[in-house]
Formats: sequence, structure tokens, C-alpha cells
Amino acid sequence: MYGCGYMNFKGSLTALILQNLSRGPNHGYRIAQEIKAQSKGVLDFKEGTLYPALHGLEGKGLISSATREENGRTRRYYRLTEKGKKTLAREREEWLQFSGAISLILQEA
Amino acid sequence: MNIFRKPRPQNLADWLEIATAELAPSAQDRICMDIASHYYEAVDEHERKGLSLSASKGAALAELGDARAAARRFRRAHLTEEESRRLAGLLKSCHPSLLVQFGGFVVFAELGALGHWRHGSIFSVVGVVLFIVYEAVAYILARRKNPRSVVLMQAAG
Repeated sequence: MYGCGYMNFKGSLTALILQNLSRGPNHGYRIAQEIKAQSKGVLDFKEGTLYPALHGLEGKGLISSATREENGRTRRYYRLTEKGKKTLAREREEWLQFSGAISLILQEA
Repeated sequence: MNIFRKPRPQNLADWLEIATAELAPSAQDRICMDIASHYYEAVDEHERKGLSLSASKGAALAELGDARAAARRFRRAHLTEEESRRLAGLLKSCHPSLLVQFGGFVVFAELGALGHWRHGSIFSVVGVVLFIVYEAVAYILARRKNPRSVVLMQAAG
């Protein structure tokens, strides 16, 4: 399990959230669960990290949110904006370039 | 409230009190709603997996993480009460620039009537520039924090 320091490395938490929302609107709890499940439990982070990140992304206009009543519970669903889609494309490209470069060096050993 | 003097949170209310300390009321409401919704989803999930209600609540609380660290992160994403007060003050300071602008037009009209168009134009331009600078600074300060503070500004204005 990696802490929030690792998750924020090169803004990876931003990219992970945007990537999750690129598949459709989602609420905070499910975003956290899906990222954890997709990474087979490797990328696990505390909710005290997720929500400030979600609110910050909303502040930057990369995602928007709306509340919905479901089974007697109010859930806030987050959705990717057009600006968010462009940012995700850029973040994905930068990450692939960055991780590719690191792999090239580590594979040498 | 000094959050570093608060004891370790024992329940959701304690956690939220620390995590939202000193934030503007609108930010507190938003965070409390999001975190509480998440917390109860987690409690339900733990109960489905066979934990008792008490153990589920404990596990869900632990998953929220360090409330103090969360408070620091939330302060980067939301305005504190003090910041929102300052912002409202900054907005009010826009009013003198509006007065200068209005005064500029009056002087412009008066001087224009007397045949001194150039001097009147300078007064008017200074008023417009001051107004734009004040508005831009207030908007940038607010936008850096949260777009919802822009709504706050509009409400205050």
C-alpha cells in the first residue's frame, strides 16, 4: 500500500481520478473502491486525500458534481468536463512518457 | 480552534470537526455531506462483510485517515472563514473604484462642457482601470481557491 506522497507523485492522483470519471459519472466511495480494485489493492489511499483532491479538481473546472438521492441516501456524483478530458489526455501522455523513460533506465539493470 | 490540540477522533463527528476547522460554513457543509455519505457507504460495506456495527464504524473511521492532514488539504481547496471575510472586504473595496469611475464620467462631462475633453478623459480612464484591476485581483484570488468562492463574491456583491 502506498501513502498519499506516492499517490501525488507527478500528479498521479489527478490522473487516476480523471481516468475513472472518463468512464462515466461516479461518486467518491466508488471512485476509491474502483481505483483500489483495478490496481489489485496496490493503490489505496485514505478518503482524507481523495475528497480534497476531488474538490480541488472541481475548483479547477476539470470535473463537475451534482447530488442524487439513491436508496434514501444523498450521493454526490462527479463528472468529467471538457476541460477535464483535455487534461486527462495530457496527463496520460506525460505519464506514459515519464514511466517509459524510468523503465528504460531500470531495465538496464 | 487549534486542531493540533484536539485528541484523536473517536467518531465521525470528531473527525469532521477537526477536518473542517476554521473553514467557511459553505465549505464545511459540503465536506460534511461528502465525507458522511462516504463513511456510511463504508460502514454498510464492512457490515456486509460480516463485521459488527461497532467494528464497521471503527474500520470506516480508520479509512478516513488522519483528520489533521485532511484539514490541511481541505484548506488548499476551500476558503477558510477568515479568507472569505477578507474576500468580502476586498469586494467592498471595489466600491471606491466605482466611485472614481463615476466621478471620472461626471468630471469628464463637466470638463467636456467647458472644452477640456483631454483632462476629463484621463479621469475617466483612471476610474475604469482601477475598477478592472480590483475586479481582476479579487477574481484571481477567489479562483485560485475554489470557483464556489466566486459565487460567494457574487452573493456578497
